[in-house]
Formats: sequence, structure tokens, C-alpha cells
Amino acid sequence: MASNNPQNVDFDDRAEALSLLKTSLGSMELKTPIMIASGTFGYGNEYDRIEGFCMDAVAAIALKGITSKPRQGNPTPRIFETPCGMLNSIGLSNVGVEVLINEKLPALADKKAHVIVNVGGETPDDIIDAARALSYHKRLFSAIEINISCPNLQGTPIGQDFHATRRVVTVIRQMYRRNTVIVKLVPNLSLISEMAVVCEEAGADALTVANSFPGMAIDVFERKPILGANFGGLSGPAIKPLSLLLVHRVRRAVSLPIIASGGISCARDAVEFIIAGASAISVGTALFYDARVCSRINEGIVDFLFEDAKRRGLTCPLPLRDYIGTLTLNG
Amino acid sequence: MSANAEKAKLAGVCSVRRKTIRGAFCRLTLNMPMEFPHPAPGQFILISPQPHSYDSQQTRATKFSTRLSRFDMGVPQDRTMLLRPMSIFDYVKAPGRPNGLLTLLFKVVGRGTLSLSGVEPGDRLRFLGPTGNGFNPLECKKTLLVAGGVGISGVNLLCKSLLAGGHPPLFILGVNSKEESPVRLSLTEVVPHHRWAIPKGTEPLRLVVSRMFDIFVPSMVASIYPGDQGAFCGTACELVERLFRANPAYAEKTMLAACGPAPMLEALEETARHYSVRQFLVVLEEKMACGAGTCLGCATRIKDLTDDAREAAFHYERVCTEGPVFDGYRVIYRM
Ligand SMILES: Cc1cc2nc3c(=O)[nH]c(=O)nc-3n(C[C@H](O)[C@H](O)[C@H](O)COP(=O)(O)OP(=O)(O)OC[C@H]3O[C@@H](n4cnc5c(N)ncnc54)[C@H](O)[C@@H]3O)c2cc1C
Ligand SMILES: Cc1cc2nc3c(=O)[nH]c(=O)nc-3n(C[C@H](O)[C@H](O)[C@H](O)COP(=O)(O)O)c2cc1C
Ligand code: FES
Repeated sequence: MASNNPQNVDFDDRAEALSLLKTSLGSMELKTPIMIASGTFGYGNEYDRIEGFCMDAVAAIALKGITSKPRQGNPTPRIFETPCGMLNSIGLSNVGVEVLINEKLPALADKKAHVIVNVGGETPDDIIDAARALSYHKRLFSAIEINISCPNLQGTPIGQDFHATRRVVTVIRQMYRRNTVIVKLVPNLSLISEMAVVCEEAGADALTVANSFPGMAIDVFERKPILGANFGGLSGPAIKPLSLLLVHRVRRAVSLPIIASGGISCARDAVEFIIAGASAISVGTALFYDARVCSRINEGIVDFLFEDAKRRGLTCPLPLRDYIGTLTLNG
Repeated sequence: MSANAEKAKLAGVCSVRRKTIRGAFCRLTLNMPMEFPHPAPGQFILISPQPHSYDSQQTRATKFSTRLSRFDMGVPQDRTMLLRPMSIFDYVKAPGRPNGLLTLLFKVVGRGTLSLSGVEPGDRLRFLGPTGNGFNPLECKKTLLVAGGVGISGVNLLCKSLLAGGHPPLFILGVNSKEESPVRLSLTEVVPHHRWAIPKGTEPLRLVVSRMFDIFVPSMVASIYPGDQGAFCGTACELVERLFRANPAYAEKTMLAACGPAPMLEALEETARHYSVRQFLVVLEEKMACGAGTCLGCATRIKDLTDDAREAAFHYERVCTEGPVFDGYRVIYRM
């Protein structure tokens, strides 16, 4: 047994140690808390050809946001690097539900991870239409993530509007009895706790907290925004403290399981989010600059569990799920 | 273009072997891991502009601290985050040697390239590649390669493979300032040579033969910098135009491949159309995040195939996956 004596841990017995990472999200069993964020993993197969990326390190993958009709997306440039982060204004460029159902989802049948479809749209009805088209093919995926928070669409995101959110979630909940229904919240919302409650009442199984934050960058010589679409969403380590606070606030408001998203790039980040109340953590931008990041995070969390057990004088490390939401605020 | 779309790429760590800096240009030779697949001409890699401590090799003594560093390390605050796309200027794998040597040639234009120019031999850099769709098997026997400045790195491997195949291309290098002479001089050593005929229409010019990695390539230099000795005074495109004007039949048989700034490519397209150049391929550049085809950040506009070749209808393609080599007649160059 690797874990009997944490003072003298046998780190070669990784398989055993990795079983400490099991968590769950509603009815979805997760082999590790790591998921991949929508928009950073294409339609699920792109990383198959990359040697060094390890699917075993990932419990679930969220596919690129899909809309009822194909979308070209925004004008270029679409990305810009900022300190410790990046702006993107992809604009929900996607193949549309039809191609997703006929070509992309069947190709994922024997993925070793749960497949999450991410649905978006300009209006509540767009989202509902996309979700409805997918609802006839429910067995092709484990969960549906309702993206009411895309910063790259015209107007304010649906996720700012309590009434519209309640309607979208309620309607989609009714279409999906078995699949896990996840709502991806808007990050820059002062009433995020209230929004979380609305989603819980409307029947959501889990919440993703949150999405990229709206932002911009300016070309000083042209005096014009750098991004072709003027504004974009900020992601990467720069937003981590912001999303950490959001996870904490949402945790206090509802008992739904939370998927943390925003700037997670190492095991310490992951553990922070878990202590703040997340059941799973979603990795996005970090994958761009390190295809091996997921394995690294898993291993780092195991290191943490052993180290923590040692510091507390326990004989064996506690499973990660015992850490979820264990934050205590200072006096 | 899906010639090598199925080829595997590797996410790994390479080590810096040599670095040469001339002016704003930097040449890096990297020691690639054994599993690195052989790149095709036109392919590129994404490379981290600086080393990261968790990529460094573990020793027994550092085992505990690396265990902690693996826990802590994300992206250090003062550094760049995303990998930078760089054409594979050269790749050689000597027989009997496990590791190939990959050369990058780049110009310092911003934070990432500045940081990359500061690496030292022995540093370990994360990379992803080789990736992208390179040059398709070419239809034409006659090839004209045009490089704008550091764009030379986008067409160099092609040049090498054409020479190996017994079809020496004609090479035109455009330099726009005295500053770029390092590209011209230190990287392609210019020596006069007489084996190749001087193309019709360019008689007053000297045809030079550049030495690129010990292979001699017939080449001409176009410089807008007056008084640049031995060079055609004007842009690369003007030189191409002059060549085609004197010899229109040559144009119709030629494959023109170009890599360089968008205005150069756009001007070349016009010339290529005018002289009905048989095949026109360009290497495009776009900002990239993933380099793996997932983020859709590197999209570029490609004209739809319709009878009416106007710019009205277009779709986006990914430079990292469908490109970086595109049919130059179908690209929309203007922002
Ligand atoms: C497939 C591909 C191959 C490439 N091969 C080479 C190569 O062999 N040698 C080389 O020197 N460069 C090459 N580039 C361009 C190189 O990737 C950029 O110069 C680099 O990413 C800039 O990073 P930075 O952080 O230094 O600049 P940033 O801080 O991002 O930008 C600084 C300035 O450079 C401009 N710039 C940024 N990216 C590009 C770009 N992709 N093209 C043109 N201008 C840009 C910006 O507009 C800005 O003005 C290639 C690009 C691609 C897509
Ligand atoms: C290029 C890019 C595309 C994205 N596309 C989507 C999308 O289609 N749907 C969605 O819900 N979120 C999308 N996101 C947001 C991410 O899923 C994630 O929530 C956000 O980037 C924050 O996490 P990170 O800092 O780990 O990247 C996208 C992010 C990036 C960087
Ligand atoms: S760089 Fe991400 S799709 Fe090309």
C-alpha cells in the first residue's frame, strides 16, 4: 500500500494515488476533477494527434460552443496576449448543431472522458433551439452546458437577465431528464449569487463559474482596438483571483456542484478552487501553452494530498473530495 | 490541402544548442527530442519564448523541491504565456544520431520574440510541432521562391527539398533596409556564380548564388535601400514583375511560392494573376493561441470557390491547421 505511511510515500504507485482524485458532479462520476473548458478543445479529437497530451488525465471535455446554425465568427485578429492572460473574440465560430450531431459527436463514441456539449446563441430561443436539436441524440453525450455568458456576442449576455435565464434553464431541463444540465454563469455580475439561485430553482444540476471576463486592448498608434471585433473575453492566470471569489460566493448561495473555470494552470490553483467549493475544475487557456498541463495538475494534487496528510499527522491521505468547500474564513 | 494533415505532432521540450544574434535577427538551433517527427517543408512549430522551471530535468537532490514546483508553477508573472509560431527554417537529422537539429530564424518584434532571443544554450523550451499543412506536392517543374525579409524561413525547407529533388528553384529575397542585410549576408552567404543562366529581362542584374546550408541556390536580392551593392533596386515584387514581363511563357509554367508581409503577398497576387502564373502558394501568419486547431483564433479569410471571383463570399480557415500554406489566389490579404 502506497498510502499507509505518508512519511515514506512510494510515489511510483501512481495508479493507487490517482484514485484519491475521484469526484463526482451530480450523477457524473469523475476519475479526476479535471475537465477541459469549452472553446479550448475544438470538437474533442484535435488533441488525438498530439503526442504528450494524455486523455487519461481528463475526466470530461466540453466541446466548442454550438449554435443552432453554423457561425463564421468574428473578424480577425481574434486573439491577443495580455500579461498572464489573453483576450479572445472568436465569436462562437462553429459548425452548427447539425454537423455536430452527424459528424463530430459520433466520432467521440469511445472517448475515455465524459463529453459535454456547450450550447450558445444570441437569444434565449437560439439556445433552446440548439438544445432541442441535440435532445434527440442525448446518448451521444453525458452533459449539456448552457452558455449564457459568451462575451463575444452582440448586446448583453443572456446570463445578465434573470427572467431569460430562468426560462432557458427551465425549458432545457425539461428536455433532458438523464443528462447533467450545467449552466455557465456570467462572471461580471454583481448579483451572481442570486443568479445561481435562479439556476438552482430552474432545475440545473451544476454550475460552471464562470466564463472569460469582457476586456479590450488598444493599438496606440492606430488608436483602434486591436481585436477585429473590438472587445473580447479575458482568460488565463490573470483572471484566477476573480473567478476564485466567484466560486466562493456561489458556494455560499447554493448547494449545486460547481465547476470552476478561469485561469487554472497548476495544481495549487486547482486545490484552491476545490477548497473554495468547486467539485471539478476546468482547464482552458493553460492547455494552449502546455499540452501536458492536465497530467501535471493531477500529479501535483496527489503530491499535495500526501504532503497535507503528513503535515496533519494522518496515517494516510484523505481523498480529494473531502476537501471540497472546506474553506473557513478568517475570524 | 491535406497532404500531411494526419501527421502526428509532439508536445515536448527541446534544448537550445546555439544562438546567433545579428541586429534584430536571431537564429536558434534546437536539439529536438528523439520522437520529434520529421517536418515537411512549410510546417512550423510553436515554441515557448522562455524556459520554465518545471520543464527542467529532475535530479535526486531537487526531487522534493520539484515536487513542490510542480504544484506551484503556472506562468511566472513577468513572462509571456502563449507559445509563438515559428517556421522551421531548417531541420537536419544526421544518420546515426538520435536527435534532430532544428533551426529557427526570427526577427524581434515584440515581447515574445524578445524573450526568445534571450534564451541561452542549454535552456529547455517547450514546443508543439511540427504542425500545419506544408507545401503540396508541386505540379510545376519551374519554381520561383520569393521571401520578404525573415520570410525566408517559411520557404527555406521547400528550397532545400526542391534542390534535393533535382529542380533548383530561382530564389528572390526582398530586403527593405540596411537592417535586413543580416538575413541576406550572414544567413545566406552571397557568392557570384555562373552555372545558371541569368533569367531574361534581368541581364543588367547580377545573378548571385546564395549558399544556404552548403547548397547553392540561384538567387537575386531586391532591396529598396539604394546603393545596396549587387541588388536590384526596388521591391521583390517589382523584380518578379520584371522577370515575368520579359518572359511571359516562364510565368505560365511556374509555381510561385512566397512568404513575407501581407502587402508583399498581395502585390505578388496581382502580378501572378496578370501573368497567369500556374500555381501561387503563400505562407500566411496569424496570431495563434493553441496551434492545434481548437481555439479558432488563427482564422484567416479565404474566398469561396464561386464563378465570380470577387471578394464578397468568404469563409474562415485556420492558419495552424488548414495552413500555413494556402492557395495565394484565394486568400483575402486586406484587413
Ligand atoms: C506559421 C507562422 C510561422 C512564422 N514563422 C516565423 C519565422 O520563421 N520567423 C519570424 O521572425 N516570425 C515568424 N512568425 C511570426 C511570429 O510568430 C511573430 O512575429 C511572433 O509571434 C510575435 O510575437 P511577439 O510576442 O514578439 O510580438 P507581439 O508583441 O505579439 O507583437 C509585436 C508586433 O509584431 C506584430 N506581429 C505579431 N505577430 C505577428 C505575426 N504573426 N505576423 C506579423 N506580425 C506580427 C504585431 O502586430 C505587433 O506590431 C510566424 C508566424 C506564423 C503564424
Ligand atoms: C479561445 C477561447 C474560446 C472559448 N470559447 C468558448 C465557448 O465557445 N463557449 C464557452 O462556454 N466558453 C468558451 N470559452 C471560455 C472558456 O471555456 C473558459 O471558461 C475561460 O477561458 C476561462 O478559463 P481559462 O482561464 O482556464 O481559459 C473560450 C475561451 C477561449 C480562450
Ligand atoms: S491557433 Fe488555435 S486554431 Fe489555430
